[in-house]
Amino acid sequence: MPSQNEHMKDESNGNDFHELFNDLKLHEPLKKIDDKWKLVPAFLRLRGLVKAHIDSFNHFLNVDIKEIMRANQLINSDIDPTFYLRFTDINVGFPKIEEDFEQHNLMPHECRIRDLTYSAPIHVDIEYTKGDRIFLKNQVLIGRMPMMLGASNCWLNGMDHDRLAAIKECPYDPRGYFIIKGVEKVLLIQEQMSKNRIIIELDSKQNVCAQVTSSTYERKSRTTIVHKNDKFYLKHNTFTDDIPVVVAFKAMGMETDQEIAQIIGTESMYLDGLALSLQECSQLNVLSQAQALEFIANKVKSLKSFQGRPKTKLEEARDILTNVILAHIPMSKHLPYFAKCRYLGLMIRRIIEAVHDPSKLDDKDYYGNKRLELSGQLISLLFEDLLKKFQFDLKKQIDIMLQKSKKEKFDALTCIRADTITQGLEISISSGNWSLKRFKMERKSVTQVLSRLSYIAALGMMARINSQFEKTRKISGPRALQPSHWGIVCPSDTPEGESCGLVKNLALTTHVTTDSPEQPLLRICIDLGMEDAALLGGDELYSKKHFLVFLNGQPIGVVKNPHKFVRNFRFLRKRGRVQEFVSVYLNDHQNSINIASDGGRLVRPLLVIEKGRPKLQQMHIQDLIIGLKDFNDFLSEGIIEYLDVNEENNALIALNEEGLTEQHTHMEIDPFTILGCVAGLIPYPHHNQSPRNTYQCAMGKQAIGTIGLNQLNRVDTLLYLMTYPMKPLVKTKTIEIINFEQLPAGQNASVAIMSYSGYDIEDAVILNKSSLDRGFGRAMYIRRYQTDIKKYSNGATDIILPGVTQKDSRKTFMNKKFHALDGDGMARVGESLGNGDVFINKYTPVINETQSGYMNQVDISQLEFKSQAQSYKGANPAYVDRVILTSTPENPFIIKMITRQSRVPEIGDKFSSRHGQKGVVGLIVPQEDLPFSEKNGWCPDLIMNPHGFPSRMTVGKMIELISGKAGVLSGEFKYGTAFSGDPVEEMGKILIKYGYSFDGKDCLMSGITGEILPCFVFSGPIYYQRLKHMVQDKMHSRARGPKSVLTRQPTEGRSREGGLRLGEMERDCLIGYGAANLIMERLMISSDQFVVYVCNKCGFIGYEGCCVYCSPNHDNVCSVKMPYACKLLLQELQSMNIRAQIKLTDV
Amino acid sequence: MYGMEQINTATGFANAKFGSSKGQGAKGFDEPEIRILELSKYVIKFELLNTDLSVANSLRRIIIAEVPTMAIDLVEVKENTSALHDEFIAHRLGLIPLQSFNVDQFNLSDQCACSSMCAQCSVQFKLHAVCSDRDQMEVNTRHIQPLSDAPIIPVQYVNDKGIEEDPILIMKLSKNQQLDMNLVARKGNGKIHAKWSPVATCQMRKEPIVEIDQDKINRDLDIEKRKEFVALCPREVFAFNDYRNAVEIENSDKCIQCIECLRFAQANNLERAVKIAEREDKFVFTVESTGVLTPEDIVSRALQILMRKLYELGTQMKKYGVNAD
Repeated sequence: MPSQNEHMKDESNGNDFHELFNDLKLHEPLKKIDDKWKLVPAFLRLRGLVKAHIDSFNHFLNVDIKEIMRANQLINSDIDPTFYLRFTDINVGFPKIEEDFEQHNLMPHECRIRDLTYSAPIHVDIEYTKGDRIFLKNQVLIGRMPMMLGASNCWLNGMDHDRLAAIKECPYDPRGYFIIKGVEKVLLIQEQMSKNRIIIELDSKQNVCAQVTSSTYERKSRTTIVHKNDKFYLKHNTFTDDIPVVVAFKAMGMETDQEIAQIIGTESMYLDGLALSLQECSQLNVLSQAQALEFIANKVKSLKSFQGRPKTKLEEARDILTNVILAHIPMSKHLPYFAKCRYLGLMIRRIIEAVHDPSKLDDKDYYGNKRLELSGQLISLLFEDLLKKFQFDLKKQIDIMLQKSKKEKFDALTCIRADTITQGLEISISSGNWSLKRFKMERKSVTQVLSRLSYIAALGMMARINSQFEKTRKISGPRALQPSHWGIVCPSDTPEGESCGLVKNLALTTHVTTDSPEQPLLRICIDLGMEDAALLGGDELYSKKHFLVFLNGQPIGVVKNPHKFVRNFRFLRKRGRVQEFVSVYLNDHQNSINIASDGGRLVRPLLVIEKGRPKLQQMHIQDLIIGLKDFNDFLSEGIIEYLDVNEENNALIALNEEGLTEQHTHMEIDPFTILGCVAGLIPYPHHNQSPRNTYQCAMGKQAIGTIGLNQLNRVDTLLYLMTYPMKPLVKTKTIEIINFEQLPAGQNASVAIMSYSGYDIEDAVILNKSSLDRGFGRAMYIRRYQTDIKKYSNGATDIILPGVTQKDSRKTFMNKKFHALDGDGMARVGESLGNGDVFINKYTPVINETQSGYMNQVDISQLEFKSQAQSYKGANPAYVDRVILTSTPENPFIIKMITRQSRVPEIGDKFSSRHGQKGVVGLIVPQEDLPFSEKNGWCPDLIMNPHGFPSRMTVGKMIELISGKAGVLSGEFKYGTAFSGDPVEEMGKILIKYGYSFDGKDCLMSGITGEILPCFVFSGPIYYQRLKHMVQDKMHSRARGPKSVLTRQPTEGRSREGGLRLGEMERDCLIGYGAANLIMERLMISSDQFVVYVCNKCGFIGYEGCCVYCSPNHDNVCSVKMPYACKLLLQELQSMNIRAQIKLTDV
Repeated sequence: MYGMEQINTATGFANAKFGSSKGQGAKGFDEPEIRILELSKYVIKFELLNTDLSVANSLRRIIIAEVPTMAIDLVEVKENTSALHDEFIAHRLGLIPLQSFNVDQFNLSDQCACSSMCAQCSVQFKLHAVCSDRDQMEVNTRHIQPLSDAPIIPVQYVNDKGIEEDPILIMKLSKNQQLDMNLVARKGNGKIHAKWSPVATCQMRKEPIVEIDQDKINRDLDIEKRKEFVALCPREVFAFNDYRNAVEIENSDKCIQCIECLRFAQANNLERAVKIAEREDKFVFTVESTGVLTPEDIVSRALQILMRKLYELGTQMKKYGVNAD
């Protein structure tokens, strides 16, 4: 627009002031801020992904554990009323272990090797009475706390690379897991519905109901109000029946109908809705509080009380109303139940609204209504339970001791046993069963073994979210991808099959909050002009002119000017006066302001926009790059803000600078952060069909690569390592951020997309033999075998002997299968193990009946031993890599033997690109037979059939090829980051610059005939992953082999060298075809044919020449061939007194 | 660089005849001929004239897979305290190129008269490295010591200026690690394992023919279009003559048959104006040696193998009464 340009020129000649505030200049397109994405790694240094686990555990270690102790401080004795024991402080130390009266610092690597638990001592300070004096004792051990790696009390916290290397720890390890008995265990993030919030939904009978799950330190309970037949009922599992809600109100001291009506709302809609309920109550003749309590008392489920005197029904009812129903609402001194009544009123109000307008029903799947439970919270629940158990046991022990001994001499310290807590924590974490007695909670598979198949697998596991829904239910709601998942949950990374959509993964910049105190927030609200709810009645609370303020789901007051309130609140948050993760959110539909500071909410950082411009400037990024500032500085400067899922509803978030308008309040840091770390590996994912990205997310976890820099020191049962892993040529920003380049899993293969031979149908790929010779796809397979040398109660022990069998110990020659053994009976390092070779020649004592007595010492020289030699199985030999001898407190002698194999790809091994395109090797072709480029003799490592493309629509793979080729030619890595990435047009230009066709196609010549191929071939580098599935571990066949003992049929499964089953459907085919003899041969002759002698007279099975049933001399028996299983059936029937006869006739 | 004549006399293949000239005679070829275009220490570029595609491709395949060389084939590990494990190092050692100028002195190990190993079929080396005084040490091909005086040693690369390049790095040792191995090199060819292949690349192409109807192009296209046409070719086959304002063929040899020019011509209704084809009797080879043999040596050996194969085929065919012609 020339006129505008001229205008600009005129202005710039004028004074500077004018130029600065020129309207035109303000409307100029915004300059893009370069390297804005660098905020993401800066963020991840502080928060996000695994840090959420660590933060949560730290919160437990430093805050929660003290709260728990404070809630369970005192132990009294029933025997001696003057006795008490009080915990005054609790702290968790650093992991240390005492062995042979010597204490040393326990490092994670030692735990992995030695099967120890990485745990730190828990100490308490105690105050207790001994006789009539009070004693103080500090630092008393009450148990050991498994320590999360990277937590504040872990040695690894704050260590630099060199020190990590010295203790054999990988600096890129995600951490955030526990080591229990040498096994790495992860506490998966658990997804749950929000606690202490009202959820309006339809129950199974399509009645509207309001549900609240109350959760406090003491108690968890669920209270429901149902709208049934136009009446309201209170539902709770302590009641046998539903309680009319008006009765409940009366029982809580609201005796008049007017009060009840006022607390719910006096508009006609609410009054009409309530009328029938009021009527019902009067029909029941419940008018006073006493009557109401009596009514409720009759409906209480009688529970057996474990301790103390039994309560009366009435007491129980009052107790339930006070402590169980809506347990999270505090009781006040004056009008004790008023807060609860108000809350009940609010619930009813919401139901009435929802009845009139179904759109007011809450969406259960909306992510703002979800909370994530992290390891800190889970451990805290468990710890509190165990602490209670510990104190219960302690009290019991003290009572016994006080009864027995004189109280002057009795020292309560002797009763403290640290096992309860130590064992309880260890068992729960290692089994994954979270059973909490107090909440009657039983949860399975909370923990999982950290997958070390690849670095990505481990990292992906740390970001995994498990939801509590049953997998079998066929409902799509919880499985579907929600709009509220944007930026919080990765849209691609979810498993296929039964748990599809239920198991999710965190996006790259998601952070999970921990609890933060409410008191200061309440104070701030009042300072900002909120009127306390305690002073208001129903009419004022629900007035249209006011907005109700909720703090963590509890109504705390009203404000007149909600927008100003929210603005001011946010302003204080930006200034750091309120914790950055506290969210405040204005709900127009409910006329409410919700402030949340509870733990488990999902927040993510966003750039703050003011007047259509980001507060972030290029100079800020410069400061970040040179290390002048970090993420927290930007946060305190108000450039960046954390928003949780609910608060996002109040924000207008722009994707990028181009989309900014005056109305926007926030902007994404970079759109690629909506993906998680596993999906972040895919180059150009926005060009792929979406399920392909999901498939890659599953396969990236199976790719063989580098596991960690300490991989060769690790002692995992199974490890797949790639010999020559490569950085991907086409990388993404996520790849850089998560250190995938340091720990890669795959190789850049030169790929030609063409058909070759016919061994490439159905996604098979063709490999170049010379490439394999030079190391393409080569992998190591490292496996651990373990035995312990046991000691028995009678003094005998297992023994290991050098390689000569017991019986002919005089013979000096070594048996061939013992060739690998050293003088100590264990295989020598470096020795090759073939099939059947013994590597630990262990013998266990045979314990006879007479020797088996407990304290019965036996003459060891008299013992007989039987061989329990561990021998190697497998068609391909392996080498002994390491032999580790170690011990644990429980196990005095453990042998770990680590074998290694080098595996070159062979036909049938599985490969995959990063676009969900997997395939097995169909053929390995010598280099001279492969097509080659006319231009420079280039020849592919791998040939992929183009039929893989049309139906899969993985355009990203094609672009990866072009970008990769351009990268190779120009000598640099190219980016394929989601939603940005290097554009194909530019890549094409680079190709042309280096003399290649812009579309990535080359003219190839046949390696067999030398002729030019009649078409151009799309060829270039693509990053290929070798997956862990290899034929060597799977191939199996059998002619003859072992049979199972019971049925005499061939065994099942590869590990038992089993037969291949001719199943029902195969059998049906043979029947249909009429191949009777074949069926006979397969099902009987080759399986479990057996000759039985059947008596002609009685029809029972006898012996050759005699029938025991008829008479031993009766010889009218015939031989019959039948499956052994059939004979077994007949005899089993007989043993159950069922007479099964065989009638023989001549044919 | 070697002089051309020197090569001809040294290897005597410049105008070598091979195969049955009568056989090709049927197609009307003259005597096959090789013309060397370029020759450096590691690369040879030559033309193969007057012969058939099958012969040219056979030559290429033999160069890659059948020219015998020496490579380390057996590694006996006595001590290895390094971070890398035995198979890993052995694989790397195998891929080290060994100077194999005297490869003819040796027998293939399975064709040797000896029972397991002898000086006729193997060369012994020793690899011993200890890192005792430094934090880190590089083990390279200089640590491989021959145990015999056979002139089979790891390749030492020389750059264009005749200066020796760094030896090939095998691995690194950190403090107090050591490596002690006995290595045995054997004769083999690229068919068995890629480590015996003497070449890095062996490229073969037919010589392209590019023809343009200058009159038509310069007449039917305006100057802008002509310039566009020239710029179109990724390989700069065409040039724009500023004096004549005309399109000319600058270097038809560069053409990679990308048919960009053909497409352009078609789009501008000049179907006949541009022609791209390939010569059926002329092949350009580029052979890049890994340093195990000189490039010209590789080619001459390949030719000998090819001749022997053809000869054997001929005798076999005669035996069964088929006319070898």
